[in-house]
Amino acid sequence: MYVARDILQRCVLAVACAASILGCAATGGSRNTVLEAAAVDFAAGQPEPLRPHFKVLYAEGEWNAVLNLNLLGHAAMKSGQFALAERAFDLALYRIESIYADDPNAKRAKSKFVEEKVKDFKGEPYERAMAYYYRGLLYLREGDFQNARAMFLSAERHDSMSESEEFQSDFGLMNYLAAWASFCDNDADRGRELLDRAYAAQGTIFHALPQAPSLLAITDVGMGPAKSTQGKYGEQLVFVPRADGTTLAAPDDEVAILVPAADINFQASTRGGRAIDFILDGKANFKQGAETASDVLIAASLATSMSALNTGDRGTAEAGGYMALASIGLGLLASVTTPAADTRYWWSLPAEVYLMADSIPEDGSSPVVAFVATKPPIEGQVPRAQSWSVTPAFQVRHGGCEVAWGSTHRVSSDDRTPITQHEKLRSERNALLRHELETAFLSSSPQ
Amino acid sequence: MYRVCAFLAVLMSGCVSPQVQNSGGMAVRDIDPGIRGPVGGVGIEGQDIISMTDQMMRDILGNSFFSGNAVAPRVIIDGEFFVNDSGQAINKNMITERLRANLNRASNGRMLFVGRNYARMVEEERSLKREGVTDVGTTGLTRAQAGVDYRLGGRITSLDSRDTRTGMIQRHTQILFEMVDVENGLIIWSGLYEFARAGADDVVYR
Repeated sequence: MYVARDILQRCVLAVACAASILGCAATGGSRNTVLEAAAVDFAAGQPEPLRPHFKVLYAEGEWNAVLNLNLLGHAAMKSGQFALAERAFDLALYRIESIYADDPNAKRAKSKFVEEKVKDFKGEPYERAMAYYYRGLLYLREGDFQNARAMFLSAERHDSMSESEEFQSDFGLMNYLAAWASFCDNDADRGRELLDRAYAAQGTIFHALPQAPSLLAITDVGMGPAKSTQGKYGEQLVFVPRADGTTLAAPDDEVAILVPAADINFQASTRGGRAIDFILDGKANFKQGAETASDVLIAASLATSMSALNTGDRGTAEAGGYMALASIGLGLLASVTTPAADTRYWWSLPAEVYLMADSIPEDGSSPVVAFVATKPPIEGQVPRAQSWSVTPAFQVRHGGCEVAWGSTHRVSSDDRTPITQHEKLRSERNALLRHELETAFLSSSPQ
Repeated sequence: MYRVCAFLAVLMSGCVSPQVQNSGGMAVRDIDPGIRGPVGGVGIEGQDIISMTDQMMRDILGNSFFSGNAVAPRVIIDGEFFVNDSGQAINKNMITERLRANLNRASNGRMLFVGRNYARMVEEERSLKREGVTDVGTTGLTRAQAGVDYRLGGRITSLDSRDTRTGMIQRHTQILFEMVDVENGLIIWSGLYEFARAGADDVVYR
């Protein structure tokens, strides 16, 4: 009778345990499902090619907001949704400009037991600089040359935030564009000053271009760098060129000056060390130390236990047991230590930016801006070289200045699944962000 | 059995949702625009615009060029010649329009403000009156739109510096306001507003 009751109790207990575990899963699952459904609803009201970007942006919240807004803004520019792109980059730059002090997730990222990627994404200096670059291009498109200059100057400033003095202020493109915006704003003094800075940074490139051309065509070429990790525990962040060999040329009968004016891979890789690298190194050392101590203790435990078996000494056996327990504890500690560097990156960035300078014809007509992009064959993947024509996403004239911008690579879709959700310590800010998104992108429509 | 219950309790405690702050969202709230908000960087912010325009307004009203005349001077205050040469994108109209609106209210007729940005609208109405499509209104006709005596100019500039060792970034921002006699080019009034602001991102962002 007692045996039967015991079995019944065990069964009830097992069912309760299983139910409680399933209940936990269901609760978390339904929370994610609700959020994902809201993200799908939000994205449904947006222009078709950008919906995947909107969905991810809404669902991931502040954790990845800067990255997702940059990707959205960039894709919107490529697809001709310029007002939408402006709003996206404004929201991203607001966060990049904000000082993150006493941020709870930044604090967690420094913990030995939490990964760096738990922090909100702000990007490395080259990524921040490129967000300003695109916003500057959008101001140029509007003919707001002063704010365009402000953006290019900010881009240069962010790129100069490298730890290594030798690599500071080497982004001549931003100074050249700021100078061009100044000339277009009829501020020749400021234009010359900024032009001198461009010459000082990369004289060979910018001396090849006229000082203040009336037509400037800017083209993004190829695919920019990726982030990866090195080190035993992935604690070292490294930048990996993804250059696919794409080059840009003017059509045969064109004689305009065309130069590669910026190398984004170079900008990424000359960043120098990061302050957080010291923290990640510390985490890696801690993990290594804990693993080593665990290994030593387990070996000692085995030896002690063997000795206890031979001698039959109870005290020695207990000591071996304690050492085994300590080894397990240290092993656990090592396993939950997370020194890996954050490798989230802006994957739609170009490898290079080309500039073409020309003059507006005397009859005032708009010159046709078109290029030919060529990608070399890739062994085992692409047998022959590929060529395709590149036309600008926009070409506008304001006063005596005409600017065009285009890209060799089309809109890259965002097919990240499953979407990562990071609500912890962000629920209030995420609620505000989602409200902000619903307001800012309420009536996104083609321009 | 007690042990089993305790185990079950521990297991069940895992089901308790993590502490979610403000899970119901956050109702819209008003923030005093004259004080620094909960978020911000080192550049020009809303409270700076309020502070600088208030200061310039008081200074202009206290200047005899503008308020001590038998005939009220005519002034244009807009962003046309107010240059943003700083490292921060800004809508200059936020500054010039607030200055104009507050000056217009506070001067109470001692200064007259010409809306040159409305020139096309005014021209259309003038044409309608003169073509007889509308009557002449109640204030009569003038030979031309109003000319002005003074116009606002100025420049926003900034200087950024950074300590790579501590991650501290600092921006000195200077906003110059000038009133120019548009007949002879004399600068009859200048006002300067400047501030420096510094901050450091968490080390994980440096």
